Amino acid sequence: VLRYGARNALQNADTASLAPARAEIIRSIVGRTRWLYEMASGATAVSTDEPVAPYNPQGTIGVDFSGPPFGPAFRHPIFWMGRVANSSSWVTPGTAIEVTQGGAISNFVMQARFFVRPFTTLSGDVVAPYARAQGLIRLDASAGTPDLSVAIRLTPGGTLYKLVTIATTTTDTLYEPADFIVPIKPGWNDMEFEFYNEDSGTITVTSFSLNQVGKVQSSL
Amino acid sequence: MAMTRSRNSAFVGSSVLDVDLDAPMYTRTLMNAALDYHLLYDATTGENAIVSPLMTHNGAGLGSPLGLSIVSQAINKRLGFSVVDIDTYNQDNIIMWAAMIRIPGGETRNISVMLDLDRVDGSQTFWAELFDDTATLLEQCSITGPFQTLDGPLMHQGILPASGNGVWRMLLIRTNIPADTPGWCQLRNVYVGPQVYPMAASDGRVPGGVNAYPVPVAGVGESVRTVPIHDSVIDQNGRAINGWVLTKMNQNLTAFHEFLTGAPVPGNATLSNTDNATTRPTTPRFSSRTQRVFTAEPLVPFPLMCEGLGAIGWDGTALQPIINSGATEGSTTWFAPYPTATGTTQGQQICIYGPDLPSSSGTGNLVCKVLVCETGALKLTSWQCRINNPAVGASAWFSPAYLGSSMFAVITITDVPFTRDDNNTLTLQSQKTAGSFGFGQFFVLGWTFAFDT
Repeated sequence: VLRYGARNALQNADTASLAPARAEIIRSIVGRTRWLYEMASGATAVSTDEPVAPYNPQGTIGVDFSGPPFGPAFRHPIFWMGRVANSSSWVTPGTAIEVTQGGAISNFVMQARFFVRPFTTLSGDVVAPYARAQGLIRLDASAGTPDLSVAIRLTPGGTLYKLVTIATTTTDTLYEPADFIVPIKPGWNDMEFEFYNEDSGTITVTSFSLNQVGKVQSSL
Repeated sequence: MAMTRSRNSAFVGSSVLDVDLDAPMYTRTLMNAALDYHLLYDATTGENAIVSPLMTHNGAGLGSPLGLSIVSQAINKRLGFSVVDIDTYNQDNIIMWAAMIRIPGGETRNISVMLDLDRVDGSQTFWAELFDDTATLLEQCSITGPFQTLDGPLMHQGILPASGNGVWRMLLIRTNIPADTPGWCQLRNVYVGPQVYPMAASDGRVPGGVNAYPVPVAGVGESVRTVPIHDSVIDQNGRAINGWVLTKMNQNLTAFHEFLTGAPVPGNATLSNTDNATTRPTTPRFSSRTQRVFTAEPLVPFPLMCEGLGAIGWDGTALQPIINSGATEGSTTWFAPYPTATGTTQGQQICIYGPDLPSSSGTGNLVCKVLVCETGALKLTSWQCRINNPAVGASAWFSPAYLGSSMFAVITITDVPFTRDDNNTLTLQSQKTAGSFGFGQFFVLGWTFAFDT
């Protein structure tokens, strides 16, 4: 015996006391119950039947928290770089990114190749929840009054997408620049972040990460 | 009849014959729909003392695995080899990346290991190995390429067959040294994750319009507005089917549709429910496993962050440090770091967003696993590690446990200080509880954070 699965909602007028007793009423109620159960369970609700819930963008069934209609989008880190915090008491591979105007390393180009788990993209000017990443940077201005500039290119060696500048004289501080938001796509992304300092002094990027924004406004 | 709320123990559904055009509408059909809905609601929210099934997203009918990345690390370092290195490390025993990885529960897909690197020449090879908690080799694969990824960059790739899930494994990425060929390789990015291929892009939206299909809006302190369908109103020997039951069942389903999917009910233009804040909503309207409203909400397996910290060699009998070898211009060389003092010292640091998940022991339990090794000095056990979060404080100190009889050990740090739904800076700290510092006692190979549900 086949089980019924459907996803058409009903209006209040359809279920009111004196409304016609149409088969669509019970069909909607039992069908949507099954559809929702399969969305939650990720499997067919009836072992002898194909699932009625759709495949999500990663190819499994149902809600995987990758954005509507497959659940609200989980926010999480998608790309990261750490460093040893205090090299005076650890022997380390060296500070991650230290840029000094006119120094041996006046700029540093980070090739960022990372995988974004698949999400449902939206058409037009509507931005899907997973379609933007927020940059987080922890900086250490070890000398002078440096400004960290980050030139963001969405393809390696491509045109400049955005220039983010952080002026700091403090040591070991976490920054979440409001304009450090980059578009990302499902699957592999290939970007370039060029870190440099056009002011005096030395600045070190002690750690860096891209994190999925989750709830996105279309203006981003 | 008492106002009892029942649920099915497993999904029952309805025969298509019971809902066909000319079929009579039986109370049992409606009853099963209501009891199925109660099962769905309880399994997703953890409410009403349900024990099983819980939608933990561990697969096998308990929710789709999430497919989150396990490692997505920027390294941008050189691993250089001199002739001395070649003589020391037996040419084919450089562990260029190592860490513990958490394979999420229900993740049965193969594990993809992908490297963005430049080889020194064509004869240099790379491979990945997966070990259990006794350092027994489980799986091994070559990393070859580079290959063109779908609509993405060129990457070297290896595929490790699945070997258990809901478990911690030690992952080593190794390389050889071309005989008599000093040189280097540039390691830029490391990715490890389940073998996921994006489906074709799809548009989950529906055409705009008015919200014709009514969705009950959650009130203050509520996450989803539904009402129980008591047994008395769907009793097969009791009342006739009435408009109240049908209306409430329909509205329960529309409310739960928004709660579960985060999307409008088909036919509606927009959501009727919205969170009351973008971050840290006091009453999230959607199934996001925060336990902010439903205290027994099932949690999900969630790998958070993993980094390998540097290379180490193997001379055939013991692990050996790789230090000061190779090129130093640009990005510096790549070797396993180690503290030089026995007191509390600051090691690796990372800044990341922390998801809106509970982290304390007994609920979410954010765990850090630090993979460490020694070079035969047998002094590892007097070293300890902890995690310090400047905004929260430091965890307790934890000691290493050897992986079998190997020179690898793992320090498991529980109750990691963490601010949920906010940015976190996490710092690894070390100390030695007895004896003096000695070179070769304690190298840190990698560190990993995961919500260990």
